[in-house]
Amino acid sequence: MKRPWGNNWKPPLALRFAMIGLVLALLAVTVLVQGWRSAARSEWRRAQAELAALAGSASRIRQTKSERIACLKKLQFMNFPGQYAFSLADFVRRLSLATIPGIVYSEWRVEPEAPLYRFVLRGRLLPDKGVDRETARARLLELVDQISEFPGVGEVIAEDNLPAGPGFLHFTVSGRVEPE
Amino acid sequence: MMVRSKWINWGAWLGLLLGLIFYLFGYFLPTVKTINRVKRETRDARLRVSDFRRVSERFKSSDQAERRFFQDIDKRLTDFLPGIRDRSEYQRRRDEGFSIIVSRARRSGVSDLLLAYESDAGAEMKVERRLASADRLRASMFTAQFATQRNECHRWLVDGASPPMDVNLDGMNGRSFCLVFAAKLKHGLGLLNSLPWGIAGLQLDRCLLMGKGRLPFFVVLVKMHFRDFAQPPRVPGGGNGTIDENAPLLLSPLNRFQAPMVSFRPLPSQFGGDIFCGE
Repeated sequence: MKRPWGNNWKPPLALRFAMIGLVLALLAVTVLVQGWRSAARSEWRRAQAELAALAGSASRIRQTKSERIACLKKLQFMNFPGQYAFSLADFVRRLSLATIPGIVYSEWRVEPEAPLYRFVLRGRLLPDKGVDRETARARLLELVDQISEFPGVGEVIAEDNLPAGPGFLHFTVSGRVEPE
Repeated sequence: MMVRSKWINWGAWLGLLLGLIFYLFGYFLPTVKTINRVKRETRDARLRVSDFRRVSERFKSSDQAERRFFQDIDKRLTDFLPGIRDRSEYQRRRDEGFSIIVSRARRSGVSDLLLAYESDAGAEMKVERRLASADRLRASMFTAQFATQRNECHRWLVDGASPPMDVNLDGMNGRSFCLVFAAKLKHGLGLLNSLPWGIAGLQLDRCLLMGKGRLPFFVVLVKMHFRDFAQPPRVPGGGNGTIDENAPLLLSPLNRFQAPMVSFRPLPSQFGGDIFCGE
């Protein structure tokens, strides 16, 4: 029989060793990998079997938990109006007690995002004798600090608009509150 | 002859290399990938099992007291959301609510108050002045202030109130109205705080407090929730809202101490000045 590479070709010794070595190495790697794979699969089966054995009691726990969650949601739904109304009124009451000289509030807006609410407070700082830009800003920051300490207040953001010359410092303070 | 055999040798080496590459990409790497996936799934399953065991050790099943507590909450919810069978019943309840609000406002010292709501035809805003100050100047200032806010009230009514919390209840529905009043800060806030109490299903929504007149001017969007028997059942909402499924609170039976009902809290008596009427 005539071979494609001719009958006279003899592979060199290095090539023969490489061929035999490669085949043996690949066989060894294959055996190892197969063993590794079957070990991993049997572990997986054991873990799945444990999980399946717990499925009955897990579904019972899930069911009870979902009943408790439904009950808590109903409670939240009934409690929110009272908490929200108190929190709104108390916020403005505390604001009225905040003592920042020369401050005038023009508008306070609230929008609920149950279970939180968002507020926007607008106002201005009246110019005083000897009150410069930095002092006005410091007073605004003092207001922000005081608001941040109100119960349930989260992040508070303040923006100001100070004219170049003498004039009012108009400001907007916004944030979120979680009624308690 | 030698040249030909050299080429054949090169070809054989190349064949070996190709065979190795084929083995690597055709068998070795996909198998390692599968093993890693199986190990990951095993680890996840083990974690779930250990998590579950930890939870089940602390978990306490429902008892009779908790069942009674659930029934009590359901009963309170039914009382909280009145059932409305038809339009006339809704109008009757709304008017009752308005009367309660007005009498409270009168007691709180609110001088001017009006209610704005969508007419029953739903096409336009209807405004009812329920309280008017004896001071004619003050009353006319209130009217002028409302005129500036009228469009906003209408927009609020058209947009409707914010969606309520995710509570599954068949046929839950609601209608909004705007409450506009001018009062000293202390009186106005007292009225605001008392609004949701004693009127079934009432919830405050958007709120605006302005200081352009002699008294602070309040605009409040109020929503009246009810169970509408005429409506098809509401599709249950998904998710747990703000309640964490893994909260420790859920592991033991609930009772009124763990999940208390909020009751009316009067505002503390310390007030500052009327901060919203400095202009």
